[in-house]
Amino acid sequence: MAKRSEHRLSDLYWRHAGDAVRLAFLLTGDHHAAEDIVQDAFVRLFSRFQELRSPDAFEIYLRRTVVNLSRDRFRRLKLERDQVTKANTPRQAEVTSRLEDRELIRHALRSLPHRQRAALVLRFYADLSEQQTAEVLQCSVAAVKSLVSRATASLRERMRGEFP
Amino acid sequence: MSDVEQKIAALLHEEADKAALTAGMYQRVLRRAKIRRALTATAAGLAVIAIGISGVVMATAIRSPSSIEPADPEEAPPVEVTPIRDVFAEQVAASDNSVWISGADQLYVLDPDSNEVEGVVLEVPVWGRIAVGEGAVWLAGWQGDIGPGGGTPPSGKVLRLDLEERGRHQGDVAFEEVGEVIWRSAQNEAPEAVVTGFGSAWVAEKLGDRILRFSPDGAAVTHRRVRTSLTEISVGNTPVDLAAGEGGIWVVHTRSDPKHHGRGDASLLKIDPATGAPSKPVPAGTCPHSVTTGAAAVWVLDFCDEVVRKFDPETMQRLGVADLPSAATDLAVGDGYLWTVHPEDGVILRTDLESLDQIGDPIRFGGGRDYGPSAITYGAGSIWVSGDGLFRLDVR
Repeated sequence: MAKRSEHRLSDLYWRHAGDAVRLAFLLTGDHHAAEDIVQDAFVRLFSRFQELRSPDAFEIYLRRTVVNLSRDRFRRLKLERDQVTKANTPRQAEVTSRLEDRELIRHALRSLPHRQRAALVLRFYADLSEQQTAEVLQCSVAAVKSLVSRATASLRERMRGEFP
Repeated sequence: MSDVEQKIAALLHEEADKAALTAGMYQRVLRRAKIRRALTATAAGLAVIAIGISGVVMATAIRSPSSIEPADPEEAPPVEVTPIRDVFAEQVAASDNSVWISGADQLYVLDPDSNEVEGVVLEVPVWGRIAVGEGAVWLAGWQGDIGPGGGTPPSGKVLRLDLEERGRHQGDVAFEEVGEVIWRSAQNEAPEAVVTGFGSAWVAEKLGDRILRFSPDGAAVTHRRVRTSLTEISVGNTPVDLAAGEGGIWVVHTRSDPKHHGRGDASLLKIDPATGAPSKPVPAGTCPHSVTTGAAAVWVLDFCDEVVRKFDPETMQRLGVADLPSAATDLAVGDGYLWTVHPEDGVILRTDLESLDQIGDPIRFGGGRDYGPSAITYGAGSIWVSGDGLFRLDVR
């Protein structure tokens, strides 16, 4: 890897890695997993840097890669989670009784399907527009609207009393 | 942003602050990148094979299972599904003799007789909606930089691509040769929808609560531009989709803020193309977000209520409601049916235009909630489905 190229990659890393880790953390709820995902994302993008259509749009590629890798991890975990019996999952009333409200919201957020959670995080944390969120999720704007609407409705349903 | 959305945003920021970079991560990334780059160079041939295999897998996944069950398959004529090769399609617009597809920063034109791509209009990074008619292809949405050195922040624009000028070329052509940017958003907000009809292109601008009407008068300005007048029609309440037909331009409004739902601002209105005057809006459910016309009716899709409502274009009275088994994101009327797209189930459904009952098998596409179909349109005698590749549907 030439020095000039390495310098450019270093610059990209220090400019975007922090945000990428925070995004991955919100998507996975696990700091170690977030770090692994961001490492993987940078490795993939660095090794394909010359092939990117618009290297200047690195941030967009990075976000998309982080979302996709988080989704892959979510799928793997879901397979594992499906093996766990419902008896091991706390019921809503039990959760309510022993957790603080904000912890309950976190629990509800993490219970959302990955794509819905990704849409919420990109819209309300990364502050992307619907169009930009659609670009990262590689879907239509209508699908983003649907995902956000369903996620918000789902949170409201789980959080009656907390949300108006 | 609503109270609920503000709470979610605050929580997400609070959560995100818990995450931070750890020492040594950059060195690990760099080391792995160098190894991967070396391996990638030697594995390029294998990658080509892998891509070929994944294409086969996608094709076989079209009939994968989903939660939506068949309605009454014996009653319905079958639908032939034809995958279109070598096209990444986000949005599609079809005229009688050409199909225009936007996706992957490019605009394709397809010959519907051969299903082959005739050419690509290069470097048109537009993420938004597309329409064909009135002598042009119209793109409305976000657009980044055009030409070499792209990657500048996208901004809301409307682009016009002259069909006559495009017709002088064969194969690939640069956008600068055949198209022009005809409108830029002052507030840097992307338009929501574009349709053509009644001699004009109509664009919904949500932030400005208005419809923009572009009327080309045919007089040439340059070799690729014609004089186009702009009329702004105030319609209020965040217009999100448009349809042209059945005697008017139809506009649906919704509210992104859920607390407004059910207060009558989710509505349908009609613009008289002769006068440009909007009608009084009529209630159209909870979250109407797509509208189309056909079979002497106006059809409004509501993704919250998971229904399509059928309206009389003359009286604007509701004629009926088609219940859907799950939320849909787009609809079309053509080939004798109402068609709806259900991305999370990865299916297209057919509904009878009179009984409003679901007809036939769900048409299944691979990918389900992650990469399902998302948009649908009717033109050139077929239904076209985009979102994860492009598929042509024909009733046999």
